[in-house]
Amino acid sequence: MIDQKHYNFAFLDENSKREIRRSLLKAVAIPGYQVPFGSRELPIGRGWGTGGIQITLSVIGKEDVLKVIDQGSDDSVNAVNIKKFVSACTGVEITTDSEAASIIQTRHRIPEIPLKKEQILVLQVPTPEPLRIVEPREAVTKKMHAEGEYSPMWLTLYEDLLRCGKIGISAEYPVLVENRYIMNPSPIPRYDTPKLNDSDCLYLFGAGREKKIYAIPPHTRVMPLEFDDIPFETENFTGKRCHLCGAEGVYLDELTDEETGAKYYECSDTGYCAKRREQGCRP
Amino acid sequence: MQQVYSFDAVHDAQSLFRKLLQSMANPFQKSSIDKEAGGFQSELGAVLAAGSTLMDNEITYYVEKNIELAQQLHDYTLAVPADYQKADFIYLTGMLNYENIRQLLSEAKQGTLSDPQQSCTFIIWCPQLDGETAAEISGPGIDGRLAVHTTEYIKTICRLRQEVQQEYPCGVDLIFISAANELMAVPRLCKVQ
Repeated sequence: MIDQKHYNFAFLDENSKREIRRSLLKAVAIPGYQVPFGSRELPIGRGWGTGGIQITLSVIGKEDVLKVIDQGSDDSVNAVNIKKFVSACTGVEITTDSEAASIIQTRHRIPEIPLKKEQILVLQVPTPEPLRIVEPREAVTKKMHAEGEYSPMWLTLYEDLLRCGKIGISAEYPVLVENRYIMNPSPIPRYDTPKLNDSDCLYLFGAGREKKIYAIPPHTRVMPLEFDDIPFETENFTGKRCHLCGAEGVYLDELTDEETGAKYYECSDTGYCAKRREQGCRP
Repeated sequence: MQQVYSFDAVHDAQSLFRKLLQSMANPFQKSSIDKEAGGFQSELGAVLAAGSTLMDNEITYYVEKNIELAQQLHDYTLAVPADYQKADFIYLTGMLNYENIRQLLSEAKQGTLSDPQQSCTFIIWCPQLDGETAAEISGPGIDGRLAVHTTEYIKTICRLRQEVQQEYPCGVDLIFISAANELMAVPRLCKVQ
């Protein structure tokens, strides 16, 4: 742990934490609404998870157990560096076990194992504004949210259908929260989107570069945007299994054997895969 | 020599905030803040602890009929006293009459449709959170509908808020703190029947 004489616990000064905490409470009280906050400078570039890090640093305590994943992986550069940083300035225990963690910070995935009531999932968000694809001006999108004026978004999805025969958004599929706000669920795959609905855990979303915080409390209605006759579909992994642990019905990464060119699959959630292998699961 | 202030602004504030966060995410879920409240040698230690966790010099607050608490909150946080129509936090520590509470709830900052976060949070002290009055709650944070038992005072405040509440997302959030140093929250989307 770094020298407490020179750095505050959890790096941020208490005034910064207080402001972020107030924003978090408002975000929880107004699910799906993007609460503006004064994003702080961190020893990591904006766009590398600073929103998620600031939330994590504002909620974390000495007793917490932290897990950090990047695209499902515990061992990628972004995840490892964030873990090192938070651990250095808090001294908290680090884990790769989703069930053992009290706080999970993640980029672009939600863990396979359903999270429990007291757990908090912090998602890093690059582009929090779901309406940005239809309207570049922040003042206008803010007004659209205020008035619940989402017809341009629906029109975009409809145009997508006409052009491609299906809605082409793969990750960060827009969702409607409590029948009020359209929200960007961060670039999680479609497979993870239904996990946001009626969950047991609390989801917190942080966008450091865009200076926005939003949240989904437990047991909140979160529905992907869909037409009555064109239902929302997730990625289909039928007939595929992880080549390491044999898992089926989970989100898989597609890999290619460089020598033979054959495709094979691996669990995206490395902590889940490792735990299964520890339990003796094999392909 | 008696120490009157041992609240740890780093760790006690963090642990209290986490309980508050979980309470806001799970309405009517009670959390004990006895340890954090013990940092203040005051009957309203829990209220002071909550105030110290959430307020600083960027915040305005209003305390109804408790000059001593108003002064203490300013001393501990440097928050700025303000009229109740402009306050970010409103503190109610006595058992006020319902007409008085209705006025505060209706005239406090509700936020705007563009900026609903610019709304007031009520921190309400009451003798206890549990009672004989049955209520059914629903909304985000609650699995379907949940039957709870609370006091008539709390239920009536929640009902008054529903009566005066403007169009969502505008509204105010309620935090209740008991004499036994327990805390629970009722965010604006929580319906109490």
